[in-house]
Amino acid sequence: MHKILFLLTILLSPIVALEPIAPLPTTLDDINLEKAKLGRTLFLDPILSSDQSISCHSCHSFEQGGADNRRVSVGVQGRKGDIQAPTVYNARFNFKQFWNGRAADLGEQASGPLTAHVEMNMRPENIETTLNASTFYQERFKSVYGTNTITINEVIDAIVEFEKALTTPNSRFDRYLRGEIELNEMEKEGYEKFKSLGCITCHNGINIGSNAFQKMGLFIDYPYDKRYQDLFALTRKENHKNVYKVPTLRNITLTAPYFHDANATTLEDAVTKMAKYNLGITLSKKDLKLLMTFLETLEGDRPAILDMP
Amino acid sequence: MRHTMRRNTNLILVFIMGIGSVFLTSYYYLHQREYAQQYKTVINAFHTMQSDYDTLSYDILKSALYSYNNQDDISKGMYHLNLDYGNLYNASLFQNVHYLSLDYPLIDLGISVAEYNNALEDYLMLNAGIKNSFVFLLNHTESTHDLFPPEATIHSDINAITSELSNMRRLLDEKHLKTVNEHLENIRRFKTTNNDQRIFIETLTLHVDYIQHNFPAFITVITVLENKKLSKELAEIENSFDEIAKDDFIVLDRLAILMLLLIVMALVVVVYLLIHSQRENLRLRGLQKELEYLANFDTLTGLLNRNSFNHIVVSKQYKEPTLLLINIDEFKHVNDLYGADVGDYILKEVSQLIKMSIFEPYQPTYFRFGGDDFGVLLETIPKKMAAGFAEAVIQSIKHFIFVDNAVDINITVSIAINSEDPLLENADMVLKHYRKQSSKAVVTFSKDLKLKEQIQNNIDILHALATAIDEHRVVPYFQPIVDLASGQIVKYEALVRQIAIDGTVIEPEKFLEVASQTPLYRELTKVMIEHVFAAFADKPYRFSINLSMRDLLDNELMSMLEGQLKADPESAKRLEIELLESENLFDLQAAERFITLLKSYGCRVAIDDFGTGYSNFSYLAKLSVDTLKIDGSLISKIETDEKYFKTVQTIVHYAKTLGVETVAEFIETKETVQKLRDIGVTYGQGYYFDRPQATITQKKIIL
Repeated sequence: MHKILFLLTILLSPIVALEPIAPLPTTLDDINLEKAKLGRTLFLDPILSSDQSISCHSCHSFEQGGADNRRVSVGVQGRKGDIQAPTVYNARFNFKQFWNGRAADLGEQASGPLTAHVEMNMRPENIETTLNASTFYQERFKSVYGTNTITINEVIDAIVEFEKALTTPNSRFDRYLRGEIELNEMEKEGYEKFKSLGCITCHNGINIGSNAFQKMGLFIDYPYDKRYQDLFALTRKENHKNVYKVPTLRNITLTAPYFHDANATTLEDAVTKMAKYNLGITLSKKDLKLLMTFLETLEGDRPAILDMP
Repeated sequence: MRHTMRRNTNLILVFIMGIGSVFLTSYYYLHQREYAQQYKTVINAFHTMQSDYDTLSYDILKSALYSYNNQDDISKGMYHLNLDYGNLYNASLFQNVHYLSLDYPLIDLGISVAEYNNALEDYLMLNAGIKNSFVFLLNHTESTHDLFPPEATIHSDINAITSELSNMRRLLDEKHLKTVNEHLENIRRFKTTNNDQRIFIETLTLHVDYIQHNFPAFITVITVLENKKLSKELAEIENSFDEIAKDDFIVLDRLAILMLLLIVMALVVVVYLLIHSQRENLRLRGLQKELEYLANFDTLTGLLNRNSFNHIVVSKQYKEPTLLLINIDEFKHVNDLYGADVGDYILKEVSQLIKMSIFEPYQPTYFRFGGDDFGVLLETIPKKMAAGFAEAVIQSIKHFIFVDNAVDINITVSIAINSEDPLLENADMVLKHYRKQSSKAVVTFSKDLKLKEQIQNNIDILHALATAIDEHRVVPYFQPIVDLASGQIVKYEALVRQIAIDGTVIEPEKFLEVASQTPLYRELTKVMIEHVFAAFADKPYRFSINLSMRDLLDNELMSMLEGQLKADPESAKRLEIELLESENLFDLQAAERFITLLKSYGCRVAIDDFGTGYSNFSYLAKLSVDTLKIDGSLISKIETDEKYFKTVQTIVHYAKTLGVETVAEFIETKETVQKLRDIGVTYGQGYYFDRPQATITQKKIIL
């Protein structure tokens, strides 16, 4: 009996796995709401930056698909960063964090911007001192964590809990995948193009990307600029130059500009450039239009946590 | 003492062993549990990692096979593999020195994981490009039929390239790349002005170039992913781990055995101690019985002892008890003569002899009160009958012949009968009282005897005497002794007097007899010696002191006297000791020694009260006595009774023969003086001359 079941699983699994994109879960059952709400407050509070000018939200705007519509983000004292801010939405499903995947998870990621010189420029001690000085936060942390003294660990934990809740379910495409709605002809055709042209080889999985590295400029060399932290910056391997984490395509219509260097200001521009550099093909206008139609179906709901009281 | 110490040591040992085994058990349990947990953690880590590796391999295979694939599983798989490795490497068990040898293999495994990780990331990148290029080749070569004329050689070149590359991909063999290059050269040489044709050729070249350029690296990463190095290393480490763990389990086993042994040992000691203490208890119980017996029975005769007697009397087991107190006469002499063994034998015999059948109707209980005192306690018996029974006992013992070593011994007993409380004390009192005064063998206690009062009177006398000695109210009186020929006072006799608190003078007859059995007697003599020496130190008269045989045998007193003689040799020369005859206390040797001693200091010696009692002429010859004092009872009767006069005459004659002076006491009349002078008595003493006075008087004597 067990053997038969096992064989059936083996045989059936490829069929099930045939669909290379998976929908986002509609509800999250692993969120501690109290922590997430505290995290939301922290996420929005400029108190966490050295000159109290910016918050996490400054560069991961809920109005801009969890990302930044500026070419580069602006940190404290107006310091400019190098790389275009990726979206915080659905980041929990990323296989690694940051463009070059140097953080294994959200917890590791969160302390990055908090302490980066050009971003929020805080030291963990400063954050602790600042928050412990606030009776508001003291009370909140006390009620959520039961501690009298706030440490950086609880701060990161709360922010991470909030970020875990930042998912955008129920996009048209997800609902199609779940069999709830039918896509129109153009959208369907766009999805077929997305697959047949080979976009799907990198943009697949639950986040439609963000589950592997890929070289920017697979077929045609993309201009290399060492300012950008790519995989090479970590591994020092020549073939890792211009290698970045494949970005998610969810809510892609909301997160312009595109690429690590913000070299594409519109989505059409980005798709055309991707086809050229990473598929080695020239897109016809018709195909571009179809792909655009498909990409529009990936826009999901605004994360529920944002509108909770 | 040593016994207790050993027991304490044992107890401490058991305690230590108990604590030890508890600790060891706890330690073993915790250690074992911790080890089992750690072992399980490690084994789980091995299996999880192996399983995740297999799953990942499967997912990679899937991604290679399918054109469209969800790579989430692969990234998750890799994430898990890294996690698994971290768990394995950080497993607490590996901190243990036993597993130190696994450290390098584990580090190597980490390197392999990293290699695998890198290869996988590169594989995903390359696989995406190569896949897409193949997609292009397969999707777009069809359009060549429309794009190029049918006779163009480019068709065959494209077909050849597609076919070669497909083979290469399938067989993972780079050697096909050579022919691909030739065909690609042909295609590149194709000159065209058609823009679509140009774009196609450019794109085709791009993809074929990509494949050509990246395929060797692709093969390399596939080889890394495929070579199962990671899996093998993992299996090897697990094997090594199992080997070492086996040793640890053996250690745990031994520890368990050791612990068991310790517990068994502790149990053995506990059992031993239990048995030991049980034995000790039995021994103590035996001892207790023995002590109880000793407390209630006389060990020599087996009769009940005085303690039992008291108990029986106090607990009123007899309604009207009568006690027959039986004492062996002169038992001390029997002991002295025949030895203690014979004494014991006689006591045993007597203890049986007193158990007479005539007592049976009166619930007799027999006792030995200690020494030679036996008792028979009887219930409600008429006094006369008791006396009769006592007489029977006396007769029975009197006629019993105690035989020891063929020497026949006869003994007699005296019996006191008493029914008055306190039973034993009264019986004892009456027995002692009559023992002194008569030879009655059976005496009966009666309150009318007023024995108690007599005893109390004696106690009062002694008390008064003791107080008098303390308060210096015991003093000498002096009576002159006169030379019957010249009428001159030649010496004084010192006589003891007690002055009562009211000043009356108490004669020695009132207290001397009572005191003679007590230590007060010695005090009296001492006081007399001191006072008399003091009184005569500056007087020219000779003087005499009375000493009894008892005094002679008192070493302390004698040394005191000798000290006095040494201290005052002048007075010593004027001293005469009047040796008082005493009924049964005459140690001739002691007397000789004493007289010799006195003579060495120039003292004189007189025999007092000569002519009565035990005096005899024979020992007088042996002792070098200076003076004989003829007893006053003879002197007072010479005027009225011719017999006494003859006796005195004989004594005087005898004394003259020995060359010894004579003194006559109790002279009260002039006629007596005349008679004594006639028969040649040397000195006289009595009221006729003077009564004893507190001071030394020099009264004119008229003969």
